[in-house]
Amino acid sequence: MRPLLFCMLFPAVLAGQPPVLPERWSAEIEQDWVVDIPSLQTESDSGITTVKLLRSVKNDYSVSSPYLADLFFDALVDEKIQVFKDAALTTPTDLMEVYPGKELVWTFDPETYEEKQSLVWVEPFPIYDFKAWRLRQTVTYHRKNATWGTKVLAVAPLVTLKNDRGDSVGLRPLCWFRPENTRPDLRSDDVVWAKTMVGVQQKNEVPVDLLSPPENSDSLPKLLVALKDMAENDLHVPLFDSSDEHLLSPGERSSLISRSDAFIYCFTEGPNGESTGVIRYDVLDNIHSIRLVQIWYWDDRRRRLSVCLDAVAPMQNIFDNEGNFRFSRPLFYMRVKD
Amino acid sequence: MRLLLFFLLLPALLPAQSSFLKDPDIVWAAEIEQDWMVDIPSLDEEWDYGVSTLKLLRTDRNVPDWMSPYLAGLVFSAAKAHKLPIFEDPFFKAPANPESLFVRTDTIVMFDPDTYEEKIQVIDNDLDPVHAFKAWRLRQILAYHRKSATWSTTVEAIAPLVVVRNAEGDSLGMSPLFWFRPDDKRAKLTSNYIVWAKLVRSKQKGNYVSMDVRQPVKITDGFQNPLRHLFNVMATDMKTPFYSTMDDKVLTPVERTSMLSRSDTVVTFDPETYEEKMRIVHNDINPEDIKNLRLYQTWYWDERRNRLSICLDAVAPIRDILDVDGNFRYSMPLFIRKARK
Repeated sequence: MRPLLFCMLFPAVLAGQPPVLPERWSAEIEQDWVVDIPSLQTESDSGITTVKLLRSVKNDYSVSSPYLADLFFDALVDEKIQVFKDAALTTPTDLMEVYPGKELVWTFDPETYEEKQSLVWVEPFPIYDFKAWRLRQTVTYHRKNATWGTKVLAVAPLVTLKNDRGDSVGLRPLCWFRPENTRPDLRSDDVVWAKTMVGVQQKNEVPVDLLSPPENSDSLPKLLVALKDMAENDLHVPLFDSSDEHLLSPGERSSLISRSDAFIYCFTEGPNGESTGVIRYDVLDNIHSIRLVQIWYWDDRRRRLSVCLDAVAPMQNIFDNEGNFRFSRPLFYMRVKD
Repeated sequence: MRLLLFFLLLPALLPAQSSFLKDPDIVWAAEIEQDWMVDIPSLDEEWDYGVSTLKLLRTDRNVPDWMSPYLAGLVFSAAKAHKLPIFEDPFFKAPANPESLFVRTDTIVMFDPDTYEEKIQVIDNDLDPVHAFKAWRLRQILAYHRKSATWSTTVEAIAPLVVVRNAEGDSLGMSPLFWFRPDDKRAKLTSNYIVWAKLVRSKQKGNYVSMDVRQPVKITDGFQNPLRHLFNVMATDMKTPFYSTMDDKVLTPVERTSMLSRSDTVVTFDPETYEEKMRIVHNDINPEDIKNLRLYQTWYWDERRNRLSICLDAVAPIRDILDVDGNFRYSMPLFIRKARK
């Protein structure tokens, strides 16, 4: 009888409990990445680190390109990579269709004062034409093992979208292709280009509201609660500091998660003029985005791009004394085991 | 007589080079010194300096240098860890101490807002190699081999150059901070120990190789200008390959002949008769007109051995191009003669 009663009452007992994340939480996200940055110094400001560059010497005046744009474009020209019109990778296309080399431009005749639309030949220049890369992927968190994973679905080079007057009005995917999720050996001679991407660019930090699957709008609070619970209680799950260098001790983990600030009340009136108090706050209130650290690899023999997840960090917003936003920083890093 | 005495005594003056120079096939050799900028952060800009990054590999071992993928950082780390012997002089006689070299003492003036006093404080700062090492001074022997009509280099010493300042902090120039010994061993570019490699072409102001050698170390009679022999081989021995500077293809016999003895059609205008006259001018290339050589070399950093290797890939004579009035317009490489690998 008692077990039956317990089962009948169980839902009522659970009503007062915090939300529980499903065993496997997953969301689809889309990010835009600028990856071909010529300067090694500038790229580090953009969250990018060139991990490998291996160029073959074609002749004195030419070594193979150090840019993903050219590596991808060469594979496209050689028909070694299948491209599609859509991100779902259902409608195949080809180089001539996506890059016809022709463009309609308006020309002005200074004698007749007439404007004419004419067709001009435009030579492809991938390194300048490809402004960024759009990456569509699913992010998954496994609650039981406290592990993250990503599955990259499609990637597209982004080119300038122009209106009929030739003005730039935004970016559009030129075509989509399927990257791989298997991690290649960085030391392989076939891997000629590899970069670590840390989501610090404006378009690639993943807002937590975007992470929420639309059919389950309260899953984000559940995810954050689960992360907080893991950080506090699952000490066997290694967490690293905000620079992803040092392993956090149990004490450091605890102070990160349940921090309280002592502060001084200042009064303009009264004999003593001040008194002290303590503010306790929930760290979850200040987490508004997730940072993904991924490595992109180009295998020049197989002509394939691989994108693999290295680490994930919940991003904590930091405010000054007046409550103004100053910056955001990783609360901690969770590394991905291969 | 004095010149003869100099050449006779020269081998004795250069004991370190003696074995190399004893090779009878080497008919001409000179010591050259070049200043190189190789740590150029932009892949686009480095091309203008004649530099191409061939390889960059960040490994677990060089993780501390991840933020500075530069030769400066790699050499600095190796020297600081006493894995790369460094010296005060290019002859490797006086060892240098990294601890004293890599700490920069600065004098700063501190202002105390309470007492309004200024205090002078001396502080020690660690040297930042990426910003401190402005260029590299490379000393090597360039030699010409008669039988194969090829060039070779033997690197002797290299030094990072740092800015020298006077007491007022004004820059007075650059001087070597320390010297170390690179080697000539050609590394396998795909080896995982090679974490940094650059192809360099002497296009920078400080690294042209002048044919007007000031420090000849060997000259065999009849080879005062080795280009005379090289041009002769190019004109007569079609089995010896020479390469185009444009596309790296082997020059055909016709291309070789036209390159060495060019005929131009010149139109002249007579101001009195107002007539235009056409005439054929033969512009045979005179080896004495070639003032500079361009060296193509590959620099490799071996992370396991903590060593820099510098290997010669090719040499190109540089020809000055003049306008019709004889004014200098630009210079360009004539052809490429590849080195023996």
